[in-house]
Amino acid sequence: MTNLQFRVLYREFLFRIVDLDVLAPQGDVTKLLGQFAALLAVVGLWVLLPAVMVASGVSNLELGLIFTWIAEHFIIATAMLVVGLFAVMSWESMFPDRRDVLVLAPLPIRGRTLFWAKIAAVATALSLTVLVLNFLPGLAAPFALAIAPTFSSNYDPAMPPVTAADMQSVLDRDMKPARLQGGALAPGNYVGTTVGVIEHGVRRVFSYGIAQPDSIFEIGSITKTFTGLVLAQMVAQGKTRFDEPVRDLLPAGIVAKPRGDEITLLDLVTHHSGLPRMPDNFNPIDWNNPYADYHADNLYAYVSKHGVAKPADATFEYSNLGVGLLGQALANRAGMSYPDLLEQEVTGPLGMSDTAVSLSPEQRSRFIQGNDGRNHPAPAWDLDALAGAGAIRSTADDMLTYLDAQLHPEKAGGLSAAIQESHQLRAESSLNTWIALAWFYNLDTGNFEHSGATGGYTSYVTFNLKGDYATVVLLNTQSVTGFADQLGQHIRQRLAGQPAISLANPVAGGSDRLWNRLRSFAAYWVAMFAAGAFIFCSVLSVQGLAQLLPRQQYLRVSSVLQMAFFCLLLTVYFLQPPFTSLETLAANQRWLPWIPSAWFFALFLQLNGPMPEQFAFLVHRAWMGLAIAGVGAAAAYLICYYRTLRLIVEQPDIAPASSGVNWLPRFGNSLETAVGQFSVRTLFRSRQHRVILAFYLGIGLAITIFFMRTPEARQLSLITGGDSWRQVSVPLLASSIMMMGAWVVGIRMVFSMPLDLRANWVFRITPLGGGAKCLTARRRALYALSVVPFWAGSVVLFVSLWPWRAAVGHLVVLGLVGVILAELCLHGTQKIPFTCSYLPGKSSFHLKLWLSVGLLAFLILEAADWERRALGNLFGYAVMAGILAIAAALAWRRTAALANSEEVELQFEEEPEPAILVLNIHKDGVMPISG
Amino acid sequence: MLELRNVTKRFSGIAAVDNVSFQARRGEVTGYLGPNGSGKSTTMKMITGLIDMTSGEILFEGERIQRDLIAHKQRMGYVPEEPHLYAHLSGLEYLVMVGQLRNLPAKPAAERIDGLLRLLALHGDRHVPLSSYSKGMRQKVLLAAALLHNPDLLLLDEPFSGLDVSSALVMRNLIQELAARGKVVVFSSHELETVERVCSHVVILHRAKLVADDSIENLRTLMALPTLEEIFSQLAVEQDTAAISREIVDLIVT
Repeated sequence: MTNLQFRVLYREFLFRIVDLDVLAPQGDVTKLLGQFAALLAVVGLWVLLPAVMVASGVSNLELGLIFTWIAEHFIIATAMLVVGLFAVMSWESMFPDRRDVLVLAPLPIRGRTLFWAKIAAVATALSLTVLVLNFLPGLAAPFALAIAPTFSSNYDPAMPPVTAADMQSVLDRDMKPARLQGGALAPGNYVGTTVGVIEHGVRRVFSYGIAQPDSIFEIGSITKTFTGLVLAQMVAQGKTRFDEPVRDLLPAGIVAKPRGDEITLLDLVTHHSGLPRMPDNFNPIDWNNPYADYHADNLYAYVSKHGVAKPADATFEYSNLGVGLLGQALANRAGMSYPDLLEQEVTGPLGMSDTAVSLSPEQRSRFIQGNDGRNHPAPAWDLDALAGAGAIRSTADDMLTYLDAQLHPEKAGGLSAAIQESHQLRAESSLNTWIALAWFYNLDTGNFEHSGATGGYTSYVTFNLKGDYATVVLLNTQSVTGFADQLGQHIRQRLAGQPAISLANPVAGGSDRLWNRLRSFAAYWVAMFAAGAFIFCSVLSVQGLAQLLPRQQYLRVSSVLQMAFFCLLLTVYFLQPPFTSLETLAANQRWLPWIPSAWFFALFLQLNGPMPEQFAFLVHRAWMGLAIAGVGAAAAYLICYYRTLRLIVEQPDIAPASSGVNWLPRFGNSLETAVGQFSVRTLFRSRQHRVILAFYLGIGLAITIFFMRTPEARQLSLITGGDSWRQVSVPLLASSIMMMGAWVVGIRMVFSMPLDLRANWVFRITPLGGGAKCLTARRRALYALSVVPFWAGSVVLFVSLWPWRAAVGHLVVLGLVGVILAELCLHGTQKIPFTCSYLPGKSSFHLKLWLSVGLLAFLILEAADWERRALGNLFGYAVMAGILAIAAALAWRRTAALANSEEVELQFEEEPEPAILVLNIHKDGVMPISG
Repeated sequence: MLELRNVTKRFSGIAAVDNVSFQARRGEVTGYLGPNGSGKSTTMKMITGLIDMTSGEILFEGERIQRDLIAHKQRMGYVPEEPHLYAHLSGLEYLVMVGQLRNLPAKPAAERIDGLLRLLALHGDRHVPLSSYSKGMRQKVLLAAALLHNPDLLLLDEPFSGLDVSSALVMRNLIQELAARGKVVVFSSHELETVERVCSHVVILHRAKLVADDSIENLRTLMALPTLEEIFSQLAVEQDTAAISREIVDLIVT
């Protein structure tokens, strides 16, 4: 009997996992489940695409690795998102609810039978979701990814500490893999590196590839340490103070004294000024040499606009703007240019004749050509106002002089005190790392270090006071695997006698051996099930924890939690960084450990083969997270079994009374107000409709992210750091239009889904009629919930971010686009929001929507590009706005004309009554057999 | 006066209401009776305009209701058989919405709603969502919504469902009072005792066809039966109810 009860309950619970009544009010379960399966399969196909592209082959191994990582991470993150959304949608049916208890309690069923049936149903639903979602990619992706490039980092064996004198022979041997085909310095790559080592006063310089020992490289951000030293020297000379406000060093009248704390020179050099990475008026004419046209006037304009107040909560934020401003300020105080100041205070006294911002003709002949990482020449970068952040060019030999001075300040003459001052640790910058005067200090290794990167060069310097050694690596290419850092670490490890990270290209071609494919297959499915189980169990755990609250409070917070989880899933999914390089890991080390998709991506890498050691802690987190979520889910069910089931019986689900304050405005006449207020209240109070709306907004957000990852957006982001929001750019213009579209279409879709179909009789027996009156009511409801709130939010956003003319111009365009979209959505049959039946199987809207998404994205990007150009041209803008206004007026008139054209009646049924009635007997849990 | 002339409604060829004609006059309460599935609610829905007739015509005050359905709805109040309401709205919000949909002036409507809520003992719960209302409370909300616009025609489909004793007494008196004030009241119920007390005229359906249309007094005389229950049993109950009861007990105890 128990077995039979279990089977019956299991089947019943399984069919109720998703709230079918909401999605298919007529109980058309067959159609709905088919749609779910089809939707998951389509998402699966979408997920499969990156893997297929990887398999199609990328000749450059490094690029191939990036592409593979992005694809693998995307697949795992998307699978987690889908499983998470599924868990959120089945929120109500995860635990036995009031209906279960009250219906089943009078029957002779043991509590544990009910309980295990519920768990089995939930587990089956999870497994089915993962299986259906991954059916296509799960078969194909492992085989595609098996032949994709993989990471194969390992260590060269330790050997006794190597002296600087012996380093070349050791390095010649260790560098061999890097100089072979596929290595960082492979022949024909136009890549070269010059390395300098100094240890106990013995200094050596070697070069590999096309570089010469005296080749001159851009050192990029290592320049910041020079700016820090200039500051320390000027402080030592009494020309300024660390705590002097930067305002005092700027031309008079540029910026007023702020009320509270203001930015000091020390704040600038330690990246604690609160200034962003880049100024918002950074709009290069030539993106290949982006800093060249950013002059002092631009810098002052920025400072004048934003002021020099220091935020009370200013924490570490790496800022090219901050250190660039420091360089300009110090130059002002000294009454000379930054390059001259640098020569006067640092490079001159230290005798660094090959270190300068501008090169002599002779030096230019030794200036090695930069490389963009794809074996294409990259132009040199010329910095003007922001020179102090990254303008210096130098040789390895000169940099050894600089590093020697760091190791032995006492020999640095007049710079002695300033150098020692520049090593004083000022604040924590990240985990185990502190910042001095621009130098980063690693507490674990005792190394001071700094990296640099420009369009065609990467560099790395480090010195260790205790070990009395230092090294510099200068490389004439961008490297996604961070070869300059890797080589620098290798030399440091050799000097210390530790196992040294291998210099072989960490990226290896994949193998199509059967074993590799099988391993890839197993890794894929293990990672997917682990990721799915983690996210599903997490939702269960959160609900379980919430159940500890008093029953009434739990009922109140439950819907908030569901929505919060939904938003969290989407936010994390869309805002998480892609794995483009190991540097991504370093750059995001503060919060990457908190992104679950990164954990399971690392788990996949570990199961699939060699994995960068930096990922090891993420794998640890994956297993820990899975264990915690599993224990949490088990605890949640125990809480439910021992506590909630009893409370459900004892306490009625009485919802609290509202405050009674009618905060909703009138929407026009009585009818318009009734429909408008009903729509707003329904959307605000119906959890299911909010979730469905959030789904559409999520799609909009996804496409927005796609826009933000276009080549132009990436370039903008690279240059401006996190500040690309302040640029009037195509991605932002397109994103706002896309989100407006998603919002309007989302509201239109939730309007078409009824809240309680059986209650719509009240609209049917009241004297409404169709036609123009009803159109106005529907129109106002749609505008009030979609166009108006989004447009109002955009006003706040764009006016605060952009110059007012650009902001107003775009807001007009956005408003007109909103009107056009809303009118298109109003076109067609007359339905009062939330009152008409909805047959998902009949609606061809979704199909059209999905098919047109790709085309739409392309069109919107093109339109945004047109708008960006028009915003800078009054005539062009007038033409564009005029066209949109005419289109909006036509759409408005067309909708109104159709509403008035004939005997239009309100529609409450999606389909006319069928000739044959279907007695939805399968609602009891038994699926009908078709045919 | 409400008049049905040869009204027929077929679903997939099967008649749910078959050639039904009767009149409901002002000042009297017309009881509309019949067993489950006899076509009562279908007739009610046709009178409200919720569903279309297959044939026949329905007239109110001599006008075909289909001629101007909107105007007809404006003069009609309806309490449906099942208390389906928008449960996310409070009682007050629901009634305000109905008032707006009926295009009532805001202030008088608000006063009338407030009065109805007080008289129906719902005022204290007016801000509570309808999802938390008991069945009887929902029934009262439906009644308030039906009366809000002072209708000329009142269609009450099982209005006593879920009401407590005092509310049922109020409802009974209310129906009679409304009829006395000149409203046309059509009242459908299975509670024959109540019908007998409230109605002066009954219409009985059986298997979709009209089997009686007369005053209760005339029916009693005509059929020589003392109560409406016996009249109803004679006309609309085919089964031997005592025998069926015995068979059920026999089935479960063996």
